[in-house]
Amino acid sequence: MSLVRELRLRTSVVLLQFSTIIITLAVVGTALLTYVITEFSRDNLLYATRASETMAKRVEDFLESLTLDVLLIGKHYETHPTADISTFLEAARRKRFSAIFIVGSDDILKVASLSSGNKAREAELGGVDLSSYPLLSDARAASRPTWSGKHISAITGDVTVGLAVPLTSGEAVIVEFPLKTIVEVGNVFREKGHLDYWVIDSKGEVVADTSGVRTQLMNLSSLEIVQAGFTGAEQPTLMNFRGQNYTVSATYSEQLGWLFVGRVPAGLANPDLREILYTVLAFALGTAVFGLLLAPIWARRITKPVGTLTELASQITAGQRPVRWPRGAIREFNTLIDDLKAMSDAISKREVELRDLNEGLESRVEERTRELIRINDDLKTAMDEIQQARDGLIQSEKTAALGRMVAGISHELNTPLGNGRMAVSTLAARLETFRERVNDPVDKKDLDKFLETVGMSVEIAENNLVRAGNLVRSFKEISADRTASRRRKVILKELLDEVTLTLTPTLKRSPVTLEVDVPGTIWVDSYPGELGQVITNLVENAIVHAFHGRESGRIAITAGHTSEDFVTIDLSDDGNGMTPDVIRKAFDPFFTTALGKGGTGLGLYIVHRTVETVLGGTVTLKSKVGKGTVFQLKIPVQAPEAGNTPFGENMKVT
Amino acid sequence: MRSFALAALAVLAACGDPEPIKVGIIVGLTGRSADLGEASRNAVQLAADEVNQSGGINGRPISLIALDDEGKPEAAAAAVRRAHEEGVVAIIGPNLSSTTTGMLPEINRLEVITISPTASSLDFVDIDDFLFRINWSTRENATIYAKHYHNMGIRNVAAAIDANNRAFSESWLNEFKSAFEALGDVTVVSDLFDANSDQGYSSTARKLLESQPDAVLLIANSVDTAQITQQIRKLDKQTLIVAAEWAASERLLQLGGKAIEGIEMVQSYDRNNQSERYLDFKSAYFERFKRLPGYASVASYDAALMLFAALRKDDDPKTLKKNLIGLPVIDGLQQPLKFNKYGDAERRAFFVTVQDGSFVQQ
Repeated sequence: MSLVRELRLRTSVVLLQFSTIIITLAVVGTALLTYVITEFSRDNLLYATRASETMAKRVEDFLESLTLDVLLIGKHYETHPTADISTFLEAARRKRFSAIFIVGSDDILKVASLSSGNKAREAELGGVDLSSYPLLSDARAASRPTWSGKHISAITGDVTVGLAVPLTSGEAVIVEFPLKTIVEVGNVFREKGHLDYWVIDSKGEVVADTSGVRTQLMNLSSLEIVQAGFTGAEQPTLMNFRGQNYTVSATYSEQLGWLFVGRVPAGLANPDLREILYTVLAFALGTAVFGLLLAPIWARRITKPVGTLTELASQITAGQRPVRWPRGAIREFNTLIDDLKAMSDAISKREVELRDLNEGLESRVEERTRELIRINDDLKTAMDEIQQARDGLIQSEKTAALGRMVAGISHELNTPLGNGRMAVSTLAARLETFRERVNDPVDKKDLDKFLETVGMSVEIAENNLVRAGNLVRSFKEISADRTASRRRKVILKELLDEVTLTLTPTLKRSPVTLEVDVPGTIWVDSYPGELGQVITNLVENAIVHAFHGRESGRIAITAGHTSEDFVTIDLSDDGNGMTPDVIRKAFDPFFTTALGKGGTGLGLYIVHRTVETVLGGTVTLKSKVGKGTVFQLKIPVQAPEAGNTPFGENMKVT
Repeated sequence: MRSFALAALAVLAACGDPEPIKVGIIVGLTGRSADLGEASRNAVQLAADEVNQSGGINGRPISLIALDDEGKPEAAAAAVRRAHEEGVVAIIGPNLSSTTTGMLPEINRLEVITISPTASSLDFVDIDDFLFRINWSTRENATIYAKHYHNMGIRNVAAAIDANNRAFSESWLNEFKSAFEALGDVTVVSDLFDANSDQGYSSTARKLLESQPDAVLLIANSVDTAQITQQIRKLDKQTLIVAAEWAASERLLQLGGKAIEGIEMVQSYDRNNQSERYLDFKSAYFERFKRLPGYASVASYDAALMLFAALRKDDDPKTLKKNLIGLPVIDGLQQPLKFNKYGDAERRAFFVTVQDGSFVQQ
């Protein structure tokens, strides 16, 4: 993982400049050198080519002149066979050839002249058989003057170059001269010191080498340039010879069967190129050093305005407004300073705008808050009004309920009182009859009948009066409980029986029977008035709503303990049941399915409120259309003390 | 920046090739024995090229430095000094016993391992020095000649011995004499000749024939052998001429003309060898040098094989002597190669006769 190192601007500018110089130098230098080297190589190749061609031509010319000389010698020998050949040959040989000899058509040596001047040796050579001598056989085969290449003289045993010239007479002249003669010919036109060449014979042996190095001791036939030169294939322009590169060119001499190879040191081995390279390197080094010296000065010029800009930016960041905006010589930096100034101005302007906007916003929030408070007050007032209206309605309902109770009571009392009055009337009639018959003899039978009737009437009257008295006491008790919430301990069964009694007139007018099946052991310490009213409301509700359009119905009340502290009272009917929509709204105030038929929509609501707020319990409702309805009260055995307030007084809309 | 400059210099000076191993070839490339010198040089060049083409010696190429001993002892000694200055690890050559004698003090002084392909003077045998030899000694060779020609009924022998290579020719003659005389009932006369003097060859020829020998024995190089034979045949067409193995090069055929028909000698290689390896060598040699290899070529190629095998073990010249002696038997061109503890080896011998301008194996 590499982390980017932070550099100072000045450092990086210096680095940038210096690397630019170096890269430029490297690229331009390389390109320049490549160009120069290419040009140089081309020049060298041209030079080598020209040299090898010139050399070939010169050596050909030289050897051709020798050939002509030898032909003339041969001609002279042929035309003057009787002359002093030995002296003639010696004259012809002198200063040019190391040996010259004439061979007869039978390949037997006739006469020879040697540079050693050894007369005895020259003499004994006569008669020597040269039939296997390659130079002679080659010349005879070619029927023309033939050069040997590097060869060992059959006569002297020296390594020489030989020329065999067949004569028209069938005889032949052979001359031999040292290899160095060829080198000397070549040296005549070595223009530059760096050029060297080889003269290579057809076997790859070096006939001459101008460099003086010992390459003439090697056979060079394996060199690519030599092979290409001989075969006429495309020549390589570069050759590596003994670890050194040369630019080479070869010229093949058809006439001699020899190859002339010019070679110039290539690349750095070439002194001229080395000089150019050193010049370029020195220039590059000088430029680099100069650039390195100048780079910091430039860097300072560049970094100064950047420092100013940084300072200005810092001031702006710190919230200040710079006073001085110094401009420099670099256009982009000046533009940047102008922009910074504009930015600073824009920031200030924006700040003022924001402050104004902020203030306006506060006053608007205040205004809105006031409005909201006013609306809230209005709402409260409205709520209070609604509450009052509801309280009024509840009061009316209570009054109405009381009215219905009074009507019930009146009706209930009417029967025993009517019965009593009828019994008393009967008694009065019997008594009148008896009084009329006081003066009449008393028939025992009549008297007994009268006494029986009186007794029965009295009994009926008494019974009915007692019953009326009971009724009144009961009503008194209920009404007393209802008007003033009084907490007491009550046996649930007794309470339910009393309630049932007050409902009797209602039940009689309906086809509904009420069955109470509650054990006498259950008691509660609660508000019997409120509980009674709850039961009454539920029964009345069932009578009014549950059995609409039916000829009979049944309401059952059962009770039990769910736990030691709670009592449940189930009030079930086998009536029409309720739809889910009705179930959901059943306890809502002013919801009624019997609107216009005397329903106030408050009955179940009062039940709900009373159970929860006064009795401290819950009321739930289960119903299904066609399957009847079950109300279940769950109240504590000990009613809560708190909230013990008469029904309706602390009711709120929730 | 510095590294950049260094890198640039490195690129400019790029010369990543491994340093070559320099090997000297000191043979006679001028003078009368130049045929042997050329044959040796060519064979070593061929061997070196083969090694270089197959990746060199442990990655290092062989670079040959050829020096001319001109067939002269002093020039040979000077060549050793030059080769040493050039930094050669070893020298192959020379061919002649005379030049070997000239070189010997220098190679031992400079401690340059020198493997002579052909030198056979008994002077070099069984000596623990820096000279190694591929050839047999004059003793073995001369003894082979003595037995062979004694068996053929030759009893009187006139020998011409080269004054310019006495280390060889005198050694050879002495060994021949003792072996021949040991076989009994023989006479051996000899004449020392010097091709560089003014005396010429005809006088030598006359002297040799004076005693009317059963055979003339020429202990000389190919050029001199050809010349003397030419002179003998001008005087006498019959007498058997036998040449020492030194002359047995192709050059003899070129220079001897018809005069050398019937001349006999030993060649230290089987010119009719049909092994694939030798035929490959022969054709590669001819392809390259437009000549056929001779006995000096075969021996020099074997010398190069030995040297390269030892260099493969370690190219440090200091361990070269030990490694050469320690070399296991190497397959030479025609025979197994092994140096004894004195750096001497063995060669085979094949008698040949010149017939119709060619060597014919007997």
